[in-house]
Amino acid sequence: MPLETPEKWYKPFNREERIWMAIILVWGFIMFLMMPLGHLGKQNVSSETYKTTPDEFRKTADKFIEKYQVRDKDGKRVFRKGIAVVEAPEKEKGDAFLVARSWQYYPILVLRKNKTYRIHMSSLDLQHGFSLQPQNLNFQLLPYYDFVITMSPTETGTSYLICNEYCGYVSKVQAHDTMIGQIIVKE
Amino acid sequence: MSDSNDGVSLGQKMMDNIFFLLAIGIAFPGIFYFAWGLLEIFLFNNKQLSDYLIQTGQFGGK
Repeated sequence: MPLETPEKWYKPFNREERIWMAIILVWGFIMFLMMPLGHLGKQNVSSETYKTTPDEFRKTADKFIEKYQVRDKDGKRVFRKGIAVVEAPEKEKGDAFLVARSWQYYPILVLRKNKTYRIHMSSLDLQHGFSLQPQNLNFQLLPYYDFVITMSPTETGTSYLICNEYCGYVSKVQAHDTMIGQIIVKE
Repeated sequence: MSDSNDGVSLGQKMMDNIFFLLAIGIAFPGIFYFAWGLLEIFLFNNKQLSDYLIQTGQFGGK
């Protein structure tokens, strides 16, 4: 390498270099555009939201549970481990509500395969996660923020809701890692 | 500029200017994400859940 600047240092790119530069530029631009474009299309969950308060959401969810809770043949309300089991209405008949709070989800929603549901979700205290397993659908649940998902289950069985946003610890039975809910899909 | 720069393309001159690269490297994403943020703010739904429940006739509103 010479220590001083050569008289004619600049050499235009040759054809192959120009082609590679053009490919890199075009690909980089496509990657850049994919960030906003990824928000369009059916692969995304709906972004329907409403403002709410923990008190308003809890009262609404309680009314929903009151109206749709499953009853046994004797007319008694059905609970599973102390959590109300609710047959969610289909999209055309009404909306379903799911509450997250430290450290439980309620109610347990019963859905029907291939039917469409609108599920309102919110937190009553602090940020919680909504991780539906084993389908691996992940959302955040925030207080003062009603997030509505529209979903049509295509498989029967019990899916579990797991909190994947650390939400505290009081004891072995009251802690983030014990916060597990259920969604049951029937034929 | 010295004679040694004769024949250097405009693109090459731009790419050799580190302050120009710094400026566009900050300005381009800055303007893009600022505009995107404004779009999100204007599209955000400020409707209350109670208004929605009244509108859809569910649970008597609030």
